[in-house]
Amino acid sequence: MASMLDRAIAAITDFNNPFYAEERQRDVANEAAAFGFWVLYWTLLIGAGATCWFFPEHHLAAGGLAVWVFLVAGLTSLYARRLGVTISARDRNAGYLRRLSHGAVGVWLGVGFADARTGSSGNPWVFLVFFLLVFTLGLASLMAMAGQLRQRPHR
Amino acid sequence: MNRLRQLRTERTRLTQAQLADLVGVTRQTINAIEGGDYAPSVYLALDLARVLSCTVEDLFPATQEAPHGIHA
Repeated sequence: MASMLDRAIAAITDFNNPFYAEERQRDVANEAAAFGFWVLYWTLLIGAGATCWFFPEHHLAAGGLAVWVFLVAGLTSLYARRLGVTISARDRNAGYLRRLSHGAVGVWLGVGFADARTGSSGNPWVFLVFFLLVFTLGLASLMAMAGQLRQRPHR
Repeated sequence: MNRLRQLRTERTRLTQAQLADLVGVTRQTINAIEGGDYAPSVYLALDLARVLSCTVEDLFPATQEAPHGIHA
């Protein structure tokens, strides 16, 4: 008997759809979904950070959005863990650029939220430069990931 | 590179679409396998071998030595 979690997963993913019976369609669709997940992950986190820095009056909504993104990322890891795959093992093989991007976004978001929370005002030019740095790192990571997807010759 | 295209055209003269119908996948999947862009599952490889009256090894010749300790 399927648990409530299994039923919820089946309802959300719709993996019983006959479309997924074709193995390559399933693989490609899942890869596309993963790519979409990472695009959402980076854009939402960067957007939340930008909101904290440039629109501090909305920092609570931005913080809530960031927490939601982390919760979904955690759920994704839990889903894989239930099937015997530890996603965090992938990070050990990740390049410096990707790991640096995660850390930079985290610091940028955290400091921005704390700054907005305390109401102190910083130098907006410093924040803008920091934002551009983080945005560039995030964009480079996405482009690198897209390049890996395109260039992979054989699975 | 696998020999799917060669065996499909020489042994059966099936089109990609016909072979795809017989094994229950899309024509694009057959094309991707022939182009070396997609490695099929064991089940699909077995179905392909059955339709083409050959073995999986005929379709997908080993290109690397077996892992250490495994002998054919």
